[in-house]
Amino acid sequence: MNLFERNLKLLKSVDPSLASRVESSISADSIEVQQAKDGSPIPKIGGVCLHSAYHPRDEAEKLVAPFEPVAGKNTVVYGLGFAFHLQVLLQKDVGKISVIEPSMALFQAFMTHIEIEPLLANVRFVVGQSPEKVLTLCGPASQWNVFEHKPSVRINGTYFDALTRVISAQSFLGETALRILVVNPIYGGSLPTAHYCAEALDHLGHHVASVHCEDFADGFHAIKNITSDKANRQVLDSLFINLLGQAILAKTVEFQPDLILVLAQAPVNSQTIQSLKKMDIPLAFWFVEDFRTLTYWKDVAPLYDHFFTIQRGEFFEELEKINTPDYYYLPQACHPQVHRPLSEADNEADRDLEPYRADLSFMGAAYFNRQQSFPQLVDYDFKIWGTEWNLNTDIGKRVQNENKRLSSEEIVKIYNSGTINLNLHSSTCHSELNPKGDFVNPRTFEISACGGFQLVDHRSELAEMLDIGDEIATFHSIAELKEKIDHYLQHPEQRKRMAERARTRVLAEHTIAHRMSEMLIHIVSRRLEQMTARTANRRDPVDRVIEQAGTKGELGTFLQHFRGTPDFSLKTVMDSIEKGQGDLSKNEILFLMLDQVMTQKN
Amino acid sequence: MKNILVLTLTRLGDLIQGTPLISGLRAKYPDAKITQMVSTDFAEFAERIPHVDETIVLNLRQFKGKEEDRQRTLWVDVFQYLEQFMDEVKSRKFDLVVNLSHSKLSAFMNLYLNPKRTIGFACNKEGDRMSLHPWMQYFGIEPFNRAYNPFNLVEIFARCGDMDPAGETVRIETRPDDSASIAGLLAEQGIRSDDFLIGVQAGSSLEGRRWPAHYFAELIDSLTAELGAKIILFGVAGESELAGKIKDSVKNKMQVVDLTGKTNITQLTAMLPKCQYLVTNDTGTMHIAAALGVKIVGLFFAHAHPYETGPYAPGHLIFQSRIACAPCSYGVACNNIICIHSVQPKHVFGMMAEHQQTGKWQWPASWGTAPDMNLVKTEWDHKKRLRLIPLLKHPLQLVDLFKEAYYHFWPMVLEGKRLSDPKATGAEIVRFMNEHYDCGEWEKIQPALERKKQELEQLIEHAIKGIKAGFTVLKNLTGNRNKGNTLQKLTEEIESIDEKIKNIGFAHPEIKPVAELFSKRKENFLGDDPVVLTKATIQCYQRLEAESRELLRVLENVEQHQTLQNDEPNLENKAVLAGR
Repeated sequence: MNLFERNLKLLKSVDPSLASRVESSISADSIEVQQAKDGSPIPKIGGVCLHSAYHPRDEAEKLVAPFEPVAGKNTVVYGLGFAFHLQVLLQKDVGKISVIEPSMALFQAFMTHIEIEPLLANVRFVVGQSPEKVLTLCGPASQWNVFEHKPSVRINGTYFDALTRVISAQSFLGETALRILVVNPIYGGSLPTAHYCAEALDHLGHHVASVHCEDFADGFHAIKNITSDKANRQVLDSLFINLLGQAILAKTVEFQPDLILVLAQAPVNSQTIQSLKKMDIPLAFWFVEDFRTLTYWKDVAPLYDHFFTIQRGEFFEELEKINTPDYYYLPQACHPQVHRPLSEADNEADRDLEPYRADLSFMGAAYFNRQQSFPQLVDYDFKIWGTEWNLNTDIGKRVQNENKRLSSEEIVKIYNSGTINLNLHSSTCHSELNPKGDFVNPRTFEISACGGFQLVDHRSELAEMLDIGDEIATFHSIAELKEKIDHYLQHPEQRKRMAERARTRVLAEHTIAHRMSEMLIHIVSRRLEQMTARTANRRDPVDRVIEQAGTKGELGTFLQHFRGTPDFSLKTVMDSIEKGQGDLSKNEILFLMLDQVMTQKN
Repeated sequence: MKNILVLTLTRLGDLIQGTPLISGLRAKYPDAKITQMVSTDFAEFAERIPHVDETIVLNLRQFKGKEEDRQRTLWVDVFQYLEQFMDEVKSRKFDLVVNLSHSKLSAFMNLYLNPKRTIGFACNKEGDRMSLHPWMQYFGIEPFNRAYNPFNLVEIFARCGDMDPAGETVRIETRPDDSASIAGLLAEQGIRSDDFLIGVQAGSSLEGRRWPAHYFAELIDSLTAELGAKIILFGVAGESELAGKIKDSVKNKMQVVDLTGKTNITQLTAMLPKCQYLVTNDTGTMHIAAALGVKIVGLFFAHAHPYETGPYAPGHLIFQSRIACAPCSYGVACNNIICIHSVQPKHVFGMMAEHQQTGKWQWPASWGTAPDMNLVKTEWDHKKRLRLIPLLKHPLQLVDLFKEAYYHFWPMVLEGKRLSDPKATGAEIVRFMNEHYDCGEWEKIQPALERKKQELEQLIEHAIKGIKAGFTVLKNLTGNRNKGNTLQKLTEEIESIDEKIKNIGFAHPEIKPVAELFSKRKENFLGDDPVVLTKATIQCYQRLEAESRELLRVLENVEQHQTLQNDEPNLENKAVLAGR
């Protein structure tokens, strides 16, 4: 076993996700490694050595000497090189260190030449991550003691400049509540995601409004019953989408958002996008779809200012080809406010969950691969919930909900109750698994957030998000799935341990709130000046009325409580009085009188 | 009581209909200072209310038409005005606030002023509206039981102030210089002192309440042609277009003088008494004319209901539709006001011509019947309470019987008394019914009445169960043992009883006023001490029981007397028999 292999094995034990990425990455950049005078290996990139060609250790001592970390903050190092500065820093007793290294190639070279064992206990490697992701992984930059390895920073100037920008964006977002309009789809899988996004953005302290296109679902579906003539139906559909486009514009004009977030499948056509763009409001789209299955992105992606995807690699190449101005990888996630463990200690809850109990359970629509492969599982206590199943088949008899749509609450009960939750990503063309499946579906995170145990088909992006074998169990074929079902049915303690670990990880890294935070940091880092100008000119309407009322008067003092309330108006005060308890104060009585006067006036 | 404030912010009519109450207050507190608060619209007229020492004006008109701009938020300005205004009013330290405005605004004002005593609408410290006086509670349920209400607002207002309205009429002050104010107007319009003048108020604040313009024109044609009358069209400037339309339609335009928008309050006050009659919709002008002693020919349509807002003095005539939906229920916006067609110009002219000739309001038998029309005159009864006396003998309906029963019932029971002589009361009701209604189909009414009596017995039963449950709660509350579950069950039982009481009211509109007053009383509990609240609950049930028994007694007596009446041969037959 060579040094690289030994290091990789060690890395797997502490950071299996990174180890997996190291293994799967093919180094495109060639990192030249040469020997310094003292015999130490040093990396050379673009003709520049990252450490002294004479005595890299002595150099590191000198570089680190002036570094005086502030107590209570985390040490973050910009640039790995071959870690000579890390070794010195560790001697200074600076606590745990996070090292931000943009280049996977360099990390691979480092693994090939340097023993990592002495570092592993106190160093976390953050390698090849986007600056936005770095902030999600390393926490708020205001809590960092930064040590810059200058040669690394110089070599990766673009990356570290971007990191500086996202740090500014994070700081801006920490102080500023944006007005964000979320445009929901009429129906479909991205609709709950739209709701979760709005809740998460609200939770992050922004002022959120939604265009509830789902309220129009019955009308939209009714078009199907009007005519069987496809051409006429398309005309009607298109008119309906235009109407909703106008509704979105009307809401935008009223709400005056700083940012519009459109969810996949929302009824926003290019005409609506063009009208929205005239309002000079940044437009973001989260395409939570498989780009190979749904291809409408080709028409709309270049029109959006920011296009977020759950796939990268080949998809990014395609987006580049059609001149998409900005695209960014933002995988799916869970929403712990909804996806949560239900207490079994509570007898009533326990009874409530009874109908959902099964050795093996599955929640999802009847995609081709599921219809094809699930008959192999009929020898288990196997229950299915979902839509579009053929109820007249053997597998259809396992369907518990007669194809009716399920609420999020019911889905949470299913995830909580299955001994094993089966999670097979959908495919319209494979009979079992998609061997090249990349993105991870929301169900993966949602089951984990519920504390459920799952068996999920192998996905190339999964290892980066959850540690396979430790936090989550996967299968590559239905045969392997059956083996694992048999195994895990026999080992409840393993199921419990793995589910607990998965839950800890998804709550720490894979919630919609994390994604929304990352999304906003990405957007704002690219338009910080514009956003600053937009929000700097905005006055809290409460300030305006306080100024008019006089800051020192009783009314002014009373209104102070409402500072920062979204969309403040007289109604805000009246709602607050309405909710209040006990005797009315002098101001409250006056407001009740005022409300009567204003109601009569209107 | 030294310092009294009367709040009248809603209608001109209320201002006038409150005058007997103010007279009563003056008689009761001769040395007190009486101040009234009115809105800008009525400021000029308010000076004419007798016994008022000072008028303060709530000027919200100053904000009219002021749109919000970027610099100022309108509601902040309104708030600051209200605060300044109310603080000034509060500094006058009123002992008693009389709130005749049926509005939340006035109830909140009363709370802000925090007087020692309130008559009328108020609210508790948490902002929930309260009406503590039994007559104010009755006023709270009246809009939802209009068909069964026999009381004019004047009587309700007066009784809210514990005044007896007997013999009182509405009044406004006239001034020596009033006449001088119209000298020019009379000359200008060619009105001579010997002209036979009839006023017409064709407009009204709500368009739907108006008798059609072409009916007014037709009536004017008859009045001018056949009685030689000269017509004065009254109204505010906004009603000039309507007046123009009427004048354009009449044949003898020379006999019509359009004064709409041309008279101020002083001139109106001087001009109205020059008229022998005022033909009018239910309007402020009608109340002013009533206060000045002008004979009213009132036209009551849509929501307008003469039993509530008719002219409060004897000698007036009122037309109303007698179709099933008249008057409109509270809150209804009618989209097909057919009631205005029940009353035709020939009816109005016929009655006026008859009165002109005989000095009496009477419907000659030769005119036949008018089943879609109510025609009533105002008259004192033997106790000098104002009555609406039907002039058309319509077949008696249950609603007429109950309205008459309630006329005797409420003034007693709302004071916690029993009818002193239920037999006499029954006889009086029967006498009134037979004098003014056609009771020939009594046998058709009787089974329905029987059913209502049974429902009253049901109410009594529920009330007794409620009393029992209340005492059990009280026992549990004052006992030592924790009986949480028992209390919970009893609370549920009481809720179920109340639901049943409410449902009887819904299913039987004739007794709904009794059921609803019970619910109204329960809304007005104060404090949160469970023992106090339980005692109040028990009292509510006790009153429901007593009131249901009393109404039952009245109805039983009515039934007995009416049956006797039907069994006895009538007087004509008696005479024939005696002759034999």
